[in-house]
Amino acid sequence: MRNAEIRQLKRLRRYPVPPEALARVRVRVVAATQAAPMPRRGWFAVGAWKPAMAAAAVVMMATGGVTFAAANDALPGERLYVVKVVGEALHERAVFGAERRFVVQAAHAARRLEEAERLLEREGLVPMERAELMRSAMERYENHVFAMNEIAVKLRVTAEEPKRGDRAIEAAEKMMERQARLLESATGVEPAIASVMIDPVGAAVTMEDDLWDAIPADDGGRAEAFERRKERNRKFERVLLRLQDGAREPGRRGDEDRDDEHEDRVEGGKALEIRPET
Amino acid sequence: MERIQEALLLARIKSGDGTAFVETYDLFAPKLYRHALFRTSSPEVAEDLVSETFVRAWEHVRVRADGIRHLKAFLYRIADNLIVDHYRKNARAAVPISEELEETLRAPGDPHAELDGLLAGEKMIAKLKELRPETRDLLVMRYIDDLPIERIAETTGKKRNAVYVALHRAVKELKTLCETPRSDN
Repeated sequence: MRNAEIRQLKRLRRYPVPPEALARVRVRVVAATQAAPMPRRGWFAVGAWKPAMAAAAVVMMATGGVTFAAANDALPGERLYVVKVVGEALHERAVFGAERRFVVQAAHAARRLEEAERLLEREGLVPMERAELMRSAMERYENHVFAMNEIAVKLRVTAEEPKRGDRAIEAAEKMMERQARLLESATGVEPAIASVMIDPVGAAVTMEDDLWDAIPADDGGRAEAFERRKERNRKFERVLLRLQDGAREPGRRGDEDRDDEHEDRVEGGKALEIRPET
Repeated sequence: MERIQEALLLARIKSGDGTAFVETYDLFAPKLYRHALFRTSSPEVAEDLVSETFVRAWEHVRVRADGIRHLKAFLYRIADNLIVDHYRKNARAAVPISEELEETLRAPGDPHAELDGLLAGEKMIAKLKELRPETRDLLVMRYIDDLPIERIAETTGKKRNAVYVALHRAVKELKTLCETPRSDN
């Protein structure tokens, strides 16, 4: 079982480190900092503040008094879109608790999927423009999925909190169902659009994999969700194969175009196989 | 929590606070030591590598701290480059890890308690040694060093998705290795 190997690896985090070795090196490090001290600078010289100030300036310029609520329907490429994503970023930073942060990320990820769906249906866009806007939405979606994955691998169900993880599973499921709807809408899209969807979709499947590794299915209602996930992943497998075919140039088929990365996701469905919990 | 500490330490270093760098050592040195140890299988080499990592890091942050976004990834990048250099210079096989560690880590008091802890990890360390370096490095960075995917991507120069796929392959490879009975030499 994949869990067992990963657990054993994680135990190596506590592998004993010889304190005398650390102490010897510390002496050298302190000596180096004292031999060649650093010039003092003020807090306003700190580079870390610059991105935050830039973002604040963008929001001020973009809003001119417009509230975050008014930007809710904005799509990539629209003037208020930056207000929308800045508002979400502030929300993400204001949430505490791993599971809550996961749920918020999942909700924002679902918004990216909704944006992608609307972009697919939007009239008046030339293919290259639509592909670029879709890329923007799907890359942001992928960022949310990565953030969810980082949280998911650290979620733990304990005897004191047996229901921990239920909200995360529910939120992930809603997001994945939204992803499934997007993929259904994406049947027959141009290769440029198909290609920007493959990686984020694969990342979401991997994230859900890691979530279920951290929160095992049990008799407390998760078994049903686990079965739904198996069925959903079977559909994803078929859709990913179609997307991959669509992402190749028209008329080209066969193994010579197989990307090594995608092979791992779609090869005979093995990458999407759901391992039964013991 | 560590990320908050990391961000605060970086901000202090960028403002010219040298003591923050020593605190950075206290925070990351044990992990870097383990990282170097699991990759080189030698406590002496690991100690030297950690020392060199922080000395070089100090030389860099003294004059160019503004360009650093993540302290941990920055330190790991230096360490990884040093490890690669070490591999190039030293073609000889490393001493088996269990012998050296048994000598080094035996503490006064109950030697059996120390050895129990060692033995628990020994099997996995032996399996790690059998893996290809790239595979081993990914597993060490992700599951022992606890680096997020983004940081691993930054450290290795790969795309995030490529790191994900490579990690899944690495875990499969390790699982196969653990399930395969070892043949006697």
